[in-house]
Amino acid sequence: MNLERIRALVGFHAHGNLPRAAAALGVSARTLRGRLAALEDEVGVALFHREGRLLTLTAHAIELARGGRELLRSADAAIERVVSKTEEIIGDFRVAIPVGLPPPILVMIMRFGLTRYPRLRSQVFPVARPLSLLPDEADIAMTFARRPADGPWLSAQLMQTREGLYASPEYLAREGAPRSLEELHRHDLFSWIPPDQPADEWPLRDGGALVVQLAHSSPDMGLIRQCGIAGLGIVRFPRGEFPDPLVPDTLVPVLPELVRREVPVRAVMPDTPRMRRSFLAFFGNVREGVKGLGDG
Amino acid sequence: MADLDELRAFLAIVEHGSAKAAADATGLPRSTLRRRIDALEQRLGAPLLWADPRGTRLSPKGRLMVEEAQAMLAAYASLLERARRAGRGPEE
Repeated sequence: MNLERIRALVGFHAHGNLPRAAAALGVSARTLRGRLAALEDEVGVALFHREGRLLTLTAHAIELARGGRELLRSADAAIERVVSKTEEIIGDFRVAIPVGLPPPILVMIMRFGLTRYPRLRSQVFPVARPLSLLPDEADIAMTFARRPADGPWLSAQLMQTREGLYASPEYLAREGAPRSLEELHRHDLFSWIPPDQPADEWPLRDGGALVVQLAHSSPDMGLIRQCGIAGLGIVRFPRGEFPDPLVPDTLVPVLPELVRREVPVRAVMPDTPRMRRSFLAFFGNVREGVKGLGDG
Repeated sequence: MADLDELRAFLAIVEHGSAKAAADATGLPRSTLRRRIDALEQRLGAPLLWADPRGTRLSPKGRLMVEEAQAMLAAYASLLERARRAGRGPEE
């Protein structure tokens, strides 16, 4: 296998036909056709629909071309890292994050990356279960899960959040603030869906759990927070100790002496020497940045 | 741009300790392995492997290259698998 075959497919995908792709790659159409045929043999599935002389890509080929483009960039970055013998993080990384994660955390991490590692590029995917994307669809996952999935993972804690109940002052003035767990049942209740337990089992500070009937739940903690800000009911989600200038809120804690737990945000990545050397330092610095944000 | 065959040749020599042992294990001629290592070292502008009387040793850049080569080949294998599965639709 050589990467020229992948480059041939990426070129064909980008330019749509053999002559244009061959011209762009600086090879003859015959050479390009040979490379594509060799790639098809290696993959073992059809990469082309053939109608006379017309070639179009199959779903297999489109997936291979898209991933191949990233692979070519990664190969260049790998050589550059070895040549420059640098500890700098170079290249493209796919980051899976919990859907609804407050933007200030992401903005802070991106700002840090831009200034400290200018040749680091990322694709960020907000999803319900970030760990499920490792390792094929993401290189790093940020998660509220207490334990990483089984496997050889590195894990770095970024920050603590405080999961609790919140409501807007307007809602509490209108509906009355609950004074006990029993009184909660008279309210419209909303919850994020945490990665490690059912949404309708609310952990209590004394170690027990309160089973509730939810009006709405979602893994998107940002949506649940917005429901609280809009005064729809009492909401449960993990809240960071930092301001969100994009969506300021005046949510106030509800029954904090009864319903509350600390929920860490962790970065999880495959345990490879490169990740161990580079990214644990990266996330160590991010952790310091988050502390600074919280202090401010 | 590194060629994946070059990376495989490099890792084979690292794993088996010498070009001769790697040639025996992979079935490739030593001259082919050597040519691939030469090409890779040319891209990097530095030696990856040092020969000494007791066998082959990794240079400092060679040690870095082992990690990168392993990651690259794993990423390629994963990509091929994704491509083979593409378009099949959800499995029952």
